[in-house]
Amino acid sequence: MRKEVPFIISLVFAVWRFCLEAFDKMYNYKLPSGDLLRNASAYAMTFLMCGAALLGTLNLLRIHGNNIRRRRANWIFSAYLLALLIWQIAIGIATSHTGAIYKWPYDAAYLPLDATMFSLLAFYIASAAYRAFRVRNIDAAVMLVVAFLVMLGNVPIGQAVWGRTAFLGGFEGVKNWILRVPNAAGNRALTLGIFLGIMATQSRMLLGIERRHLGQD
Amino acid sequence: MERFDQINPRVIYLLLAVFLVFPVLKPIGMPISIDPQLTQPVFNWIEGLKPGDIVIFDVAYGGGSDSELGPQLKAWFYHCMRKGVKVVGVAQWDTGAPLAYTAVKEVVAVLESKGISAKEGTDWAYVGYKAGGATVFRAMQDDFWKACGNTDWNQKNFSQSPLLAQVKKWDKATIKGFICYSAGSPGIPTYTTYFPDQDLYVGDVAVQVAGTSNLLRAGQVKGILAGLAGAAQYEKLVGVPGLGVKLMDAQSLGHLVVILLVVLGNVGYRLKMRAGKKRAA
Amino acid sequence: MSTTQIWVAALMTLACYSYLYKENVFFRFAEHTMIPIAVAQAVVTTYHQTLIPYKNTYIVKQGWWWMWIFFAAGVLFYTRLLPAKYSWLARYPISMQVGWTLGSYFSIAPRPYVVQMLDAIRALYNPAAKGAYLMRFENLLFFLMFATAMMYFFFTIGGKSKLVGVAGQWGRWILMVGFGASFGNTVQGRISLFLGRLSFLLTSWLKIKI
Repeated sequence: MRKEVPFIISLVFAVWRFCLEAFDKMYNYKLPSGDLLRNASAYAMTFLMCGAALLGTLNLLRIHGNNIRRRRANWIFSAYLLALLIWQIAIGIATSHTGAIYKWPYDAAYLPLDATMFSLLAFYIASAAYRAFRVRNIDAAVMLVVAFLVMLGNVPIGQAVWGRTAFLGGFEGVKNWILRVPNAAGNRALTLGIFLGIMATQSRMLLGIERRHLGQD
Repeated sequence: MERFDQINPRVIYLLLAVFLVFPVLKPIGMPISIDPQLTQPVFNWIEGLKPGDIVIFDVAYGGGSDSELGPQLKAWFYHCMRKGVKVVGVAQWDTGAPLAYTAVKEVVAVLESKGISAKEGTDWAYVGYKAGGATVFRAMQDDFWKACGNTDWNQKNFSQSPLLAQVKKWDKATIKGFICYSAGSPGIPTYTTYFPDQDLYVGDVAVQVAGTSNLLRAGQVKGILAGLAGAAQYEKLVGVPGLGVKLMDAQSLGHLVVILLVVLGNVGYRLKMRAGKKRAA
Repeated sequence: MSTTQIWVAALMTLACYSYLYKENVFFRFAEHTMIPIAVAQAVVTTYHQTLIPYKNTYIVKQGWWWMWIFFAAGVLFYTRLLPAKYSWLARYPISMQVGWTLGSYFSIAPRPYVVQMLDAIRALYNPAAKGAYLMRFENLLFFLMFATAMMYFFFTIGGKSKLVGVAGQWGRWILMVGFGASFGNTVQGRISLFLGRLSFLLTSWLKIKI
């Protein structure tokens, strides 16, 4: 029963949502409060996720709490992490997300760190392009040539070397054609293929063949 | 020569950093051309609106993409305020919501110094992040106020904002287009799924442009600001050069460094293969 | 930002970049600063921007007390962290979320993909749509490229049919063009990320005009 009841629940919610979207009368049905039935359902599901807002926090508490308890390597950092986490949540909830005390570490530490973590990728892409981008066959050669054309089409130096008024519209014109035709064709094929794969998996979940999302017994 | 493919990664990092720092400090001043397929349609959209028309921007990015999308948002917002177009901001990402508010406030300070009206609540309003994902955004289509719980980013009631009093629902009569500043999911699919009839423009990180071009071709997206280059082009169109324009020369040199590294790596690889074949023979 | 905030931001930035040399205590400190603030942001904004407004709007004003049932279902997510004797309770909210998403996938989610499919075959059913010959040729070329790229994924037929096999090979090259375009744009994107940080360090921290 521990898997059958959740399966029935997901079936009920799936049918409910489908009916809300697919049938005109249900789609436009208004509750006495004036809210649409489908919107009321959306608010309810949103409120469900509000109930789970602390999941990430509790998981961090569990993992880093274990590190501290067992005095693993770098447990001091775990203690610092938990202290900062509890402080931020407490101050944020007590004041607001726009309060000066709450925002101070967010603006001074988190935003610069988030941006910097991503900016490390600039160096990694240069290093990865140097070490891994090898022209071993026609496929890789096609990819390399297109990459160079698009790169030069994106920047002013490419436009200065082979300008828009020149033959084929220069690097920019070639880049735009590549993005508009072959790239869009390949991307669309990939996107539709991925969508069909998702539909197949969702069908399996709807029919109860796929139950891995419910976990192991 | 075979050692071309064995350069220490730290040397590569240093090389890239040096080639990026110098053009930032001493710009070369290469001309920036406007992309007619991607950037121009976004400009034409705002330029074609009347004062008082309302548009919506959506923040679907975080701090990691602020370098690309922040300058885009600032240039676009400046354009809107200068045209007298009213702007309402929402956010699908909680991490990006405060970023966009800060960016907009910076532009407001510049606008006010130039005597252009940019009053919060009247000319623009910021609702910020609302949990619930795409389904809550869809509910905003029918009843914007209730879907947001009648509360804006500063926790003021919607009834206190003259602009928000005009935005009860997101229909075509009220809203003259959306721009989604997107760095991932949730983002553009919210609009292509639930708002297919609305005009959608995208401020995109460069990484996603190849995928979003697919949507542009299908007509689901009407224009794209592509990364920092898109920001630079928009700044040029608006006539207010900012960070985007200043950093394009460094972009050019950075690209040349990457091209050089790929070529070097392949030259070293080919020479090593040839030397290996000779030894085997 | 205040001067202290700028200095903290600059030092955090440099601590992060020190990872390029090798992993060190400064980078670890920066990491352990970033994570809790990010998690706290999700909790705090959800609380102030959604939970409280929804409670006031729907539960207090409209008397929708049944919303608390959904809230309680959401709280069951936390049982995942408990021993196996109780962790199965998390299946209830998971199944509600999964069912809600499943319903959309069979109703509204296909909509943008149908638009794309119709656009892909535009050359076949509406060849005169744009009028210009170049556009018609481009639409036909697009359709052929799209079809061959789709045929690349027919793995079970490709080996048996020569047409699908050859078309699939062309499709593979079309996909390679897409990957090359993605790589080209990715380089621009990644370099922009560093330039953003560089401009902060130079202008806000070192006060150098650029």
